[in-house]
Amino acid sequence: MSHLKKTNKPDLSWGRRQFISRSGLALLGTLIGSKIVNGHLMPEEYTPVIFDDLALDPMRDKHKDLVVLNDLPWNVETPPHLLDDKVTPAEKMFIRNNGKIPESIDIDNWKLTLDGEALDRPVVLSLQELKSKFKSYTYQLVIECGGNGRAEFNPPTKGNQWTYGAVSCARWTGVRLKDVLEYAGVKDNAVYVGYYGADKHLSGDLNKVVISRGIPIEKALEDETLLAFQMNGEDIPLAHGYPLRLVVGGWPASVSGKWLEKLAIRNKVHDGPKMEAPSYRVPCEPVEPGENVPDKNMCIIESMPVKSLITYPKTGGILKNKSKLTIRGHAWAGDLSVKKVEVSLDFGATWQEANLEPPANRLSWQHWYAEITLLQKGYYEIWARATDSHGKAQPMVSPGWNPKGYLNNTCHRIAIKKV
Amino acid sequence: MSIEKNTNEIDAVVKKVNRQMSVLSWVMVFMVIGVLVIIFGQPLISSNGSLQETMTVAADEDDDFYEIVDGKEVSSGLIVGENWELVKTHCTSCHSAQLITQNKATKEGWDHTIKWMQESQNLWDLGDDHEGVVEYLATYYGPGDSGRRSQLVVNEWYEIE
Ligand code: HEC
Repeated sequence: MSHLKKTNKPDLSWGRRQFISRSGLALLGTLIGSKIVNGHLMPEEYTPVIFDDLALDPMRDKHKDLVVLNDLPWNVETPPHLLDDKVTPAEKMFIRNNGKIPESIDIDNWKLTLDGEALDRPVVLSLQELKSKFKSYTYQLVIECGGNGRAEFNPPTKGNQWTYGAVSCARWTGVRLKDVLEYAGVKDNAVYVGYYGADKHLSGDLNKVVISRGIPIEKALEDETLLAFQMNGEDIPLAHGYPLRLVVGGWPASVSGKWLEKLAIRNKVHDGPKMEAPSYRVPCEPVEPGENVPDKNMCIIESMPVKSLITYPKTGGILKNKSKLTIRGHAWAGDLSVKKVEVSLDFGATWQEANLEPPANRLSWQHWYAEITLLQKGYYEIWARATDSHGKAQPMVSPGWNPKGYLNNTCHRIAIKKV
Repeated sequence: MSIEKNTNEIDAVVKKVNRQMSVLSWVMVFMVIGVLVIIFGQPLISSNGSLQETMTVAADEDDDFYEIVDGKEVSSGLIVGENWELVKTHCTSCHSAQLITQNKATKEGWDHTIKWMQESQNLWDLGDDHEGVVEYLATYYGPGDSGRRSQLVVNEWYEIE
């Protein structure tokens, strides 16, 4: 982690912002021969120049073919064929940031505070104490953005337009949240655990919390719910939550709080920013596409739905002078497991069952492969669909439209030609 | 005595030089602005008053130039059309314009997102600019016929007997 400094760097971005003054704006307006904008409405510290986050460019450590959806805040997705590894490496892990990455991490003085109505008194633990007081566990856990697949909803829904690749399954090492809660003396009235991290709000307001979501106490007490300090056997990369984060497999990634500084053990559903509607909520009852849904009819997303990806071959492949091809990928099902994966070469008319491996552990994705035969020359689409342990399969068309475009688990398709 | 006189004389010379320098620097500032206006101000606007295909505007010395290529402002990626500067001004200081250009919505939909940011994300009141911003967004980032698997269109809902 050579790029992490233990110092408190001054925030360079503000100096640069101030340098470009309001009069500069006016001059600009004059020069381009257009109407001078109402610059006076903006608070002093704002000017239309950004890029402060580039100093912490996480793309330096990423595979070059990851797709940047937004560079402030960083939102980056992985094309399906780059998710072929059984354990997702750091360089191929998607990024969903809601605010700015913390600029300096003081690892020696990093503290995790636990407080809230369901504790008698706050408990503060250093990183060292967390690692020494509690037993460590390692699990492979699926983290998928609630908005993965948003790009395919129609009418369009707002937010980053993720296609398929806002999902990962790395090996996370940390201590069980339940052990830490027990140590802190969690009371019977505990309902929810909310998190607070060290990321900074985009507006520059240092008192504003970027995102503070959470999980019901039942999920918090599961064995696989970790306070993680390692990913794939190394320090967690800065963009992914160094030095400490929550990892909650199978639930929207937004509950796996990064740069974790505080946990609030609540006696009610946590009410931090982005717990409220419309964030990470879907209509409690199905709605017509495009419908306006009142906040009170929006329910919090919990387990993610069943889903699969074809990670080999990459879409657009041409098969020459042969008919057989072994295709493969992963499948996962939120809190459940996957019981079946099928593939179709004829737009869903017929299905062939794939070989499915068991998960490395609960809440890990499962690998599948299938040998297919393309008899005729021409254009094919390969579709994959998984079925969860409760018998629910992926739909062929976008499922329940919702105002923020969450939970699209339509089958993945790739195009192949035989010549 | 003579030393004092010398010092006084030197003081006077220094003051005179200072005065001339400050006048000179002001003259230079105006010259530079004049040159900038001549170089950049002229070709920006074609005879019919519209913005030309490609242009560059000096914003400040250490920053990138504002450049418009293929109808888009290069640094933000925003489509250049009526009121685009309002959006550049109000909408690119917290997040990049990529968050805007990825999205599509009706006037009502954009209005909704702006209100959400005002209520929860510290976005300021856009005042007189509000209408222009929403107009621009709905015009250039309106919902098209996107989506691979389109919705069923129901002309008339009826009750099944
Ligand atoms: C004061 C800071 C600020 C300003 C200025 C600002 N925004 Fe935002 N905006 C935010 C934040 C914070 C988010 C959430 C970012 C995220 O979650 O990645 C956001 C999100 C968005 C989104 C995604 C909304 C969603 O539902 O996910 C859009 C679209 C957007 N902004 C457009 C605009 C437009 C248009 C303007 C100009 C009128 C603007 N923003 C100005 C802070 C701001």
